[in-house]
Amino acid sequence: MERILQQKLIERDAIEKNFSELFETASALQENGEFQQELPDPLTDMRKELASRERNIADLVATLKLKNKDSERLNDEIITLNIENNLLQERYEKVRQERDDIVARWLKKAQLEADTMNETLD
Amino acid sequence: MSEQQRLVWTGTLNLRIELDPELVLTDQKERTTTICVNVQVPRDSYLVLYLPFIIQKLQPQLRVNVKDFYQGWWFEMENVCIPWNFPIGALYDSFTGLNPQNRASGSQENSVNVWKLMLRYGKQLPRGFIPIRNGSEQIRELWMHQWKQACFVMNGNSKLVMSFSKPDTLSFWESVLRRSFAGFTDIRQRILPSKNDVKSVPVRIHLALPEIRLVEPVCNAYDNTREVELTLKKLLSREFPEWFAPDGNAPYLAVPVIQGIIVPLDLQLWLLYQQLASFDGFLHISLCLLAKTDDEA
Amino acid sequence: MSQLLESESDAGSSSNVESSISQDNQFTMQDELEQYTKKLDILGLDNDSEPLNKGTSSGSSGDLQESNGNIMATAVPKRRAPMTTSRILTHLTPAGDAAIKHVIDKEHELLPTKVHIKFQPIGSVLQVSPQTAQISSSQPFSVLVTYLKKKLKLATVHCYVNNSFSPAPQQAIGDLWLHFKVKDELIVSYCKGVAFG
Repeated sequence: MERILQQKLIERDAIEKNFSELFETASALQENGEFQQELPDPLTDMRKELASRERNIADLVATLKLKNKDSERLNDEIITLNIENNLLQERYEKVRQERDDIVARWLKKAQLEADTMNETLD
Repeated sequence: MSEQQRLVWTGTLNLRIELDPELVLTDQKERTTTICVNVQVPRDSYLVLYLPFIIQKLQPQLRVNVKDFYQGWWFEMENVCIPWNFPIGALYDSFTGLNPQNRASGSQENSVNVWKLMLRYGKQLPRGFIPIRNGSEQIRELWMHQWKQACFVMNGNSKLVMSFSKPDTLSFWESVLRRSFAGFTDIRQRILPSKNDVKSVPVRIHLALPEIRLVEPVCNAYDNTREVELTLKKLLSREFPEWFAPDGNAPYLAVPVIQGIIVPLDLQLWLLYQQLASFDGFLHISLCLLAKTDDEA
Repeated sequence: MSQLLESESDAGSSSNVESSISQDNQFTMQDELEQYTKKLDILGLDNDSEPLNKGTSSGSSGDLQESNGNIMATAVPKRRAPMTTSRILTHLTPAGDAAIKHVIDKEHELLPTKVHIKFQPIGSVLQVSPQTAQISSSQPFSVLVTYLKKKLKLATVHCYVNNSFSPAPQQAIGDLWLHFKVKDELIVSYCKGVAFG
């Protein structure tokens, strides 16, 4: 029975080892011990630069979003105030009309009074 | 120390590890080129132990500076995250639904067996992935706990492993890192009970279909009379009657794959454990569902 | 949600209206204006309601709810197999098809059985109350760790079974219970630091 297992393991390896020279044997041992920051090289600096730029972009995108929201709000406010203005304008027109009417009526009445007075004087 | 054990220990996998395009340092226009590295790793080890090696190979093409070789990195197969705390060979068998028979019949002189994985990095790890905050030390601790658990299953307690001296514990782990078969078996033999004393067999069954699942059944080495030994067939028809019909009339719908080979169902589980168990103290079984073409083959 | 907001703003504006009426009965135009602004507010409120939504959802979607030692966790997450592997499912024999359906059905029908857990503190950690808990056997062990973390308000908790080992987080609690139960309870000890290295 154990021979069967052995035979199958050998068959398995025959398949898995085919062209395995194309694959570099990985090692779990870290030659230089624990992780070491490599000597400063231009690539490391450039990556740092890239990371900071990407952070910058992300910040700016966030700011832009906020600003967009603000401008939307302001737009809404403008619309509201416009409506308010229109309504007030309407009301003003109405009141002015009323005043004009009253003035006209008052003038008419004053005229009438003056006329009657003149008649009695004559 | 048998030839089978040695073959289990020396078995390898060919991996083609592609770097997540998001991580590639390149001109925007050239995003189509894939950056990858071809490596060969032992089947019977944790893939994450090779992260420093793999990352160092890919480092020149990375758009980020590497701060830690373990934290934040993970592997995926077709967007499915690969857990790191099981032997990579066992994961390969179950994740790819490996049917060794099909692979053997389809294999030719010029065919290469490759498992394609993607290396990814991010602050947000996939759901269920254990974060590695403490590098290889954390991996070692987890692995020791696996052995303590396996020891408990076999002996009824973890005393054997817990009473190891510090040098023994460390050389046990070193043997895994250095792939020293002799060093490993020396200490492993001290944990395994003799045939008559074994209580249960530490078994983990990996299922990929209908979804990925881990089953750890209780496998008492003997029945109540202590006369009849548990065989793989008995275990599987007890746990998975749908695939392995207990009455033996219906044909079996799946095959058990251990260490990349189909194992005969009549073998005693304890014998299988001794020959084919993995480096973490468990016998990892992958269930491969048989497709139509498998029947014809 | 939107209804609630509407009614809120209704209440707000109506009180305004009342006060203005008390000042001057003839302020009809202001009423009209207020109607407009109210409508605009409701339109604009979508933005404001966002944090509110987040607040309520994070409150209710807590992974663990617990009452009387009965740990309720969200359903065990389904983990799909990779695409090429799943393709086998479409090539199964009729018998294999039937078996797959049976397996899936069984999982749906099977009522989750609960197992008993006993928590034991090690060292200076507080005893969680209640000391014993029940949990569905299909949950992974990581759920217990999360539960303890929440209960103890600690960033990390180390958990051990039978004072010996800590299992893999993916392992089903039911499997562990079957293996390592003592008098029908799975004994989980926990502490802040590493106890059994």
